[in-house]
Amino acid sequence: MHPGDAELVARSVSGDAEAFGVLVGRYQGAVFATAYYYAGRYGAAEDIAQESFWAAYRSLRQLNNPGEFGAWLKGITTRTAANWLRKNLSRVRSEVSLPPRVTLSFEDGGRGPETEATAAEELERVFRAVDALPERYRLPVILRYMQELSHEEIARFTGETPEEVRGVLHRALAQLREALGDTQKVRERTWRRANG
Amino acid sequence: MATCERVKRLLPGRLDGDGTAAERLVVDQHVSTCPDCALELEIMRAVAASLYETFAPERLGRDLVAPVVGHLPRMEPSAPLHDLTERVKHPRRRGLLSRCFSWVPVGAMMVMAVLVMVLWIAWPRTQPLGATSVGMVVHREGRAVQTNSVTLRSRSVRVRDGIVPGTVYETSGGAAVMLALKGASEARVFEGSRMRVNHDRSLHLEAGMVHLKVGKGQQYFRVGTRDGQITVFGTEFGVEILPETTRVTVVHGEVQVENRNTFTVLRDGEATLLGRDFKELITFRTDVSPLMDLVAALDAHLDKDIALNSGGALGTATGTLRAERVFVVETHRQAVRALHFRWKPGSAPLERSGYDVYVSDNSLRPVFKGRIEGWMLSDIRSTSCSLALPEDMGWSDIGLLHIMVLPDFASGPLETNFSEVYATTY
Repeated sequence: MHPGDAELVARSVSGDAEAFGVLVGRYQGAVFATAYYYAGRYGAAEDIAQESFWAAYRSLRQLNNPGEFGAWLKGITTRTAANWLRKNLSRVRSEVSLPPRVTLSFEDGGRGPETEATAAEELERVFRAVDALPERYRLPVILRYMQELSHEEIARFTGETPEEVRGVLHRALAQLREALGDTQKVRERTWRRANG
Repeated sequence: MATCERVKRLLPGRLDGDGTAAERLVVDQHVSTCPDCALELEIMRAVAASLYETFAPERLGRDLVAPVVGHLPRMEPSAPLHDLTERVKHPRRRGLLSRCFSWVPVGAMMVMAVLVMVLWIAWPRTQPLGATSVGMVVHREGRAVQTNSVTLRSRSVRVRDGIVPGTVYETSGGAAVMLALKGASEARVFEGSRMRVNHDRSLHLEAGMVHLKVGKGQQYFRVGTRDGQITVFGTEFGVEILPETTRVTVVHGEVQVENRNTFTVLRDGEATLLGRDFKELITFRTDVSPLMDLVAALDAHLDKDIALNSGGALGTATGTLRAERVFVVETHRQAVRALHFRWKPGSAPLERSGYDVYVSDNSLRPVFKGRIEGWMLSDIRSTSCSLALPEDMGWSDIGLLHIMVLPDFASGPLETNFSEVYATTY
């Protein structure tokens, strides 16, 4: 039986660093993905994740309900990422290159975007689709598809129930299907598979 | 047999392996016989796979436990609750210093109130030509009144008064004034007019008639009216507010006139009537002599010394940025679906000015008017946007598009640097 968050928080507060290590292991994926979502696209998600855990440890005694450690940690991570962005924004701007794009100009009218697409372009396309989702859907989508967290793990971190998370992810997937689902591509693939 | 609608609702759950065994069975049974739902399931699976695949390389690559636990900081103590209870129990134990400090907000408010009163009393009734001036009154006939936008105080207009941004000039009963603005621009405000000077290159005409001679500057000159706005890059023209429309007459140069629906460009000797809801603006040839007669009548009484010297006293125009950008996109007579604008990313997510987009054809006839909102430019993650164009534009006659991107200075700082405009066809 794994110890619950509340027990681990209590042990950490009484000086058990190992217990805090278990909490770090439990939430590192979620914290990293949250940091990545806010600022990590500029290459600093790991730093922010570590900084968030240290900030949480520093104020662990102020946590009123240790059973809600996950949701509390999410708040700390968001604030840490926002502070990091504020401090580093000017530097970040000079480092970031223009995101790739698919140009449909008259000169290359014959070639479709597909042949030109690269992994970076695909990432950008997926990000744009995720960014277009309602605010409440975005973080669960990143947690699910980047860190492959279960509904229960996401729920512990976002403070929602697993059923709510499940509903959110289903609705998000339906919307992403509209934005990213290439009917033609799938139809061709299915046809090819059916015909050997 | 389950309906397609119900099955489609169950598909995300089926992909996740969620739901009851019965639901899984319903979906599997249905997709084995319904090609549409089978395709839908394939698409959803492809989308989910694409999400996993795309994000996989970004996943956390190492265990953070050791680096975090290895450098744990000192834990802060919990809130000292006993201190608070002490204070509640013994309110009289507050020190003299803390009691003094508790009066600070009240004192600050009193000081502010005194300051406001002093400012109100001491605010100059005449505004000399100072650093904040964007121009100077060089001529006045009859009783013209000016109102300060901050104090809302009104007084008679006097020659050699500095023009403070926001001042409203009113001319009635045979009155007229001539204003010299920074950047060698002149505004003659005729009888029965009411005009606000926003800054040296922005005016708003509420009523009456003005004649403007605009000096070329780095920033465009704009006149707002009830019916629309007029944008100029250095020219001479007149604006008259009529009961239902606004008449714009160009003596020399080029003036762009627009309402919320469309725009047009007027050149020497041309005029238009601008109505707020007009879908099209008709340009016609006109005789400019009645306007020039009014100008000559006013100038006959002008003190030439003051008018000529005003330029030196005022200095050059404000605004150091070249405001408008012009792009030309070849369309080869193909119908254009959308125009795409790209800009260099800004340095911070600050408020930005929005941009108006004016699209004309080879002969500079208006084709389309659009807008890029400031908030789109403020988002540091976005560096491009698209404007969809109407289908029925007579594309077969249009070989190239002339696209002007003009900032709306009033909506925020001018930070955006457009780098490219391109078009997509059907």
